Amino acid sequence: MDKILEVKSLRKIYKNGRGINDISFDIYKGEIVGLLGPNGSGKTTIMKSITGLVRPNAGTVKICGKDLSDNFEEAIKNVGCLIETPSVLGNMSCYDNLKYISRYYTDMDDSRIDEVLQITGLYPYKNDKVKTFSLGMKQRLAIATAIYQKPKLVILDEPSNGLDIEGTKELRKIVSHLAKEFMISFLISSHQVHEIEMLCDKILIIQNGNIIDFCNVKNVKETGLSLEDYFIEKLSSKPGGS
Amino acid sequence: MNAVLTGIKNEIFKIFSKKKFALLFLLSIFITLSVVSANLAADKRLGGPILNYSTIPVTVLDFLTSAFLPLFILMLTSDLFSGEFSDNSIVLSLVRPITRSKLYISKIIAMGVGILILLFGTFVLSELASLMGGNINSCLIKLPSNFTAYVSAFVPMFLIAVITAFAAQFTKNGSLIVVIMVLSFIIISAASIIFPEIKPFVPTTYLTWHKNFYSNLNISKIVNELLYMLGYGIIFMFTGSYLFYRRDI
Repeated sequence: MDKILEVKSLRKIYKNGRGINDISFDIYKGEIVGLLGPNGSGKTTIMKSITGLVRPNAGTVKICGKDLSDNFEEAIKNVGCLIETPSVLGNMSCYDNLKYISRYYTDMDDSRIDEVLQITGLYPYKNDKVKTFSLGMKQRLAIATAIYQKPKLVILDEPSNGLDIEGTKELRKIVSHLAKEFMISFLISSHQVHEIEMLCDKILIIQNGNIIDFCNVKNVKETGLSLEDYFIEKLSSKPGGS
Repeated sequence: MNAVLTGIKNEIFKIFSKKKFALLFLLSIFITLSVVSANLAADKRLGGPILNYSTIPVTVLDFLTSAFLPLFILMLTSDLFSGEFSDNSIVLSLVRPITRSKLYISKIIAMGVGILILLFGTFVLSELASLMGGNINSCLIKLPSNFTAYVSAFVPMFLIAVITAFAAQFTKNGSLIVVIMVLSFIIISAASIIFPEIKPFVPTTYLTWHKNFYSNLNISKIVNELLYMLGYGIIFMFTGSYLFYRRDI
């Protein structure tokens, strides 16, 4: 299988001494990988390092074989992301937000805007100003901007934040559909173990900025433990664990 | 190059969608109409205009560049940097196929285009207003020097945008940047009055550079001041771009 993401010895330490250390993992085509960890364990820092939003102190990130630090434009073309809060332009309409990003991708035509608006259920609000949107609708728009360019890798940080039950279910459907139909790979972080369990093929457990486990969800299920119990067991078995 | 052009197009699109930009344009229309109305009223009631109609464009320019235009440039530039960092919308651009250095350059050039459009619009409007006085010949004679004044006013205004973009790399608070820049302007201006020997070395000295084109041209002074501005522009542009490149989100 094609390797879509290759993270090697990634290290980022902030001024307060926290951060991530020696993070290495790979994601293959069509795989959905869940990132699990307690608050402050470094999940968002890993995602930000992969998208170039923070500069790692050491290590490499390769997306579709292209090094992020040497060939940023080519590498990032293959990535769509939603990290922390939805990044949208409030004083513009939903359509204009997508039009704004579409200019960076010359191989896509404007019909793709309508397509992603349909996928995320925002088509009826196409011409509405984003500042009038609820958090859930902004989250949907951020997902639309993440998948617009048909990326090979989508990074979603707490994607169900602000979404109602129906929206969360819809999101799961979208992710599964994109992974199966278009072989898009996903890296998803969530506090909801149940959500990760339903969606992901593999899980990466992070604690205090280090990877403590990278396993197949299927293998965990075969042990007879729920993912939640497995996660807690892994955390408590490491020094400094809860 | 394509990424820079796309970036410029996007940032211009963003600037034009801001209410502040429309407000500034309306303000320049209001100032021009006020000056013309006052002149026409004086012409009718006092028997002569306060200003020569052909000088209306430079009067409007002086008024705009004395406070309003710099203030709006401060606000628009801080919106494009600190404002976007504070509402997280900067991420929308940072995760696209454009490097940070190119994005920084795109934002600065877009600000430059915005300033040029504003100045050009005000120039056309004030020239039309000056024609209302009826003396078309004197207006036409003054047209080239008025045009030069508007074009040259772009340089110090653009320098304000470059310096503001640099300052915006230190905080996410857009309003704070405007306050810091205004206070710095006041302190530096006061210091250059108390210590006149520092005057040639501070950027605030050159904000009225366009006035050099109103009367007899002193080429050596014009070139000298232009070089100072260019020097400041290069320093602030590269330092700002470096800080933007290094900044963690």
